[in-house]
Amino acid sequence: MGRYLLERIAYSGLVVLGVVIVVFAIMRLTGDPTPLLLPIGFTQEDLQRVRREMELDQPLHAQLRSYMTKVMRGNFGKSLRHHDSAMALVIERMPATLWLTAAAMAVTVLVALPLGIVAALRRDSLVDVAASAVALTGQSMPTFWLGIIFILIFGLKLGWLPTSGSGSVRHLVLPSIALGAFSAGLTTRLVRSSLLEVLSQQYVRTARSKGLAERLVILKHALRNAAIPVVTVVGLQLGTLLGGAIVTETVFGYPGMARLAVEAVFYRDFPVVQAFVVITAIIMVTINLVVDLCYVVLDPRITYA
Amino acid sequence: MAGRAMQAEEARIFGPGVEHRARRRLRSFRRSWKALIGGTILLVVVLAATLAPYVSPYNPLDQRILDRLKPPAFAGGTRAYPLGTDPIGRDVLSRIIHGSRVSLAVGLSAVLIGGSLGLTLGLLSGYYGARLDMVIMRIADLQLAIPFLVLAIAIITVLQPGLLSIVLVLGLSSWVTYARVARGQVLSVRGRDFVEASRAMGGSEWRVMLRHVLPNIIAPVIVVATLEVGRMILAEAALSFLGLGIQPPAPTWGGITADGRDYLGTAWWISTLPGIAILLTVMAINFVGDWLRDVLDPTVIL
Repeated sequence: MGRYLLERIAYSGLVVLGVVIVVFAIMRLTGDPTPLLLPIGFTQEDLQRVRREMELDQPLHAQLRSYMTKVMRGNFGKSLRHHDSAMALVIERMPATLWLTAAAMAVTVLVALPLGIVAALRRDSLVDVAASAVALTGQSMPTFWLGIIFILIFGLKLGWLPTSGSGSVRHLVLPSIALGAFSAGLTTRLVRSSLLEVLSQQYVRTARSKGLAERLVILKHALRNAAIPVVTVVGLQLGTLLGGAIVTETVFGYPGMARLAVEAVFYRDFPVVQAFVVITAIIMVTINLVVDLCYVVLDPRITYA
Repeated sequence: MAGRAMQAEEARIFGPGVEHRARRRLRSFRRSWKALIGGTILLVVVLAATLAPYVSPYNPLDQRILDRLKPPAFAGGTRAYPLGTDPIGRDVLSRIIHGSRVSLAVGLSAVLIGGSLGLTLGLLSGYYGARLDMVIMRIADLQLAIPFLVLAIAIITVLQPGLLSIVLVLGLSSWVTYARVARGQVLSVRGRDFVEASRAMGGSEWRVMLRHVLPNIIAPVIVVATLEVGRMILAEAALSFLGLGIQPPAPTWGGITADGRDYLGTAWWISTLPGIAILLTVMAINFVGDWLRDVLDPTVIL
């Protein structure tokens, strides 16, 4: 287990390194990355100066080496707009985004688990049909549109909840539901189908035929086994949620790192964008690591000896 | 009486094997109504997209500033503008009809690019295994560590936003799903008798792969591709909404929604109506995808 953990951590580190190289490559999509490091309206002299300072006149492998060294120290350069360390700017806004994502994840799980379980246990009943309809609608709605509908109804018409900013739990309600709706729909459908699959297995039949109470069959035998694919998908949903945060934070004027990144795109503030990409990747691999370790708890057959 | 109880107990233990007739009917209906409704909506959308210049009442770019912010006909407006007008007096209905062109074109071409790339890589990865498989799956891990929209943002900062960069970004970053599904399927048919037989008869690697493996793995890939069209349409709408997609004044569903954001309190229709078009289209695609899955390959869990 210890060895497995170490290997997994090392691999996660490699993935993050890979992401850094991808960012390096993206910067060079147009050939010359220098304009990306200069504010709009730069002069030819600026271009020459930055090219020399950033060693962008060196061969590619030398550029990569110096780039990697800087990034390893957390140096993504200065924001072109805020004249501050790009990394510090992103880190400062990160907690807000993590709160939003966590709240949306909670919405996903709190909706998907009960709805999916009831739908599977009452298969083909009206409840099941209704749950499927709700889930499919959630999966088909654009996040930004749901956000706008929420602002219209709960903010402008009813005035129940704040529609922009952050700072309290009340600020999180609308954005997290808007953000979680898509994942909730997808996960509901998955919980349902995965529980149905488990319920048709031999061990469930055995548990029932030995006279075990239905409640225990479901709790001890079915749900635990159905949990494994569900944990995988909930882990994968993190990417959807972090990506969706870009849209949600913009709609609700929520001051997270994703909105910072969108603003950075309009200013062509590439240092901030690249710091955002790398931080997001670090969050992703960390959570995936945790998900992998959850398997060990959920399924004693997996030992990673 | 004892028989009834026995039957109920049997049903409890054996699950849905012993089924009530009404339930069976409900289920078979559930299968086909999805295809029917989804297909009908999609047909309407495709017709609207192809015939856009003929069926929309106005040119989507024409501004009539005197008629700005007119409400839809059903909310106290005039029949001249069935779905109202936007802040610079453009007809919302005409813009939504023309917006369907962008959504469908981007959705389909992104799936075509991502699907062919993913299918090829998944096929090679599963068929040859070993080192190639490892390399491709490691690249997939890398791709999955950068959420889709995050990658899109990075690329669009460097390239200029526009139709081509959107299609490329969406297409190139969505290959992993297809590759994983295709690879899994290849692994399960690779050792089967018909593959061995073809090889024993002297079939070349390419022949075995394309004539025997491919046809047997394609069904789940088609299901995934169908559902992905919906996801791509949602992604394009999100990017255009953010202003990072197709640039104004070209009408896109995401863009029209963004146009109305500052007028939510006074002109709710601008931002809400295009979203309904997206919702209906994506839902129709999901219906068709679900139905295809039930018909072609019930084992795929999505």
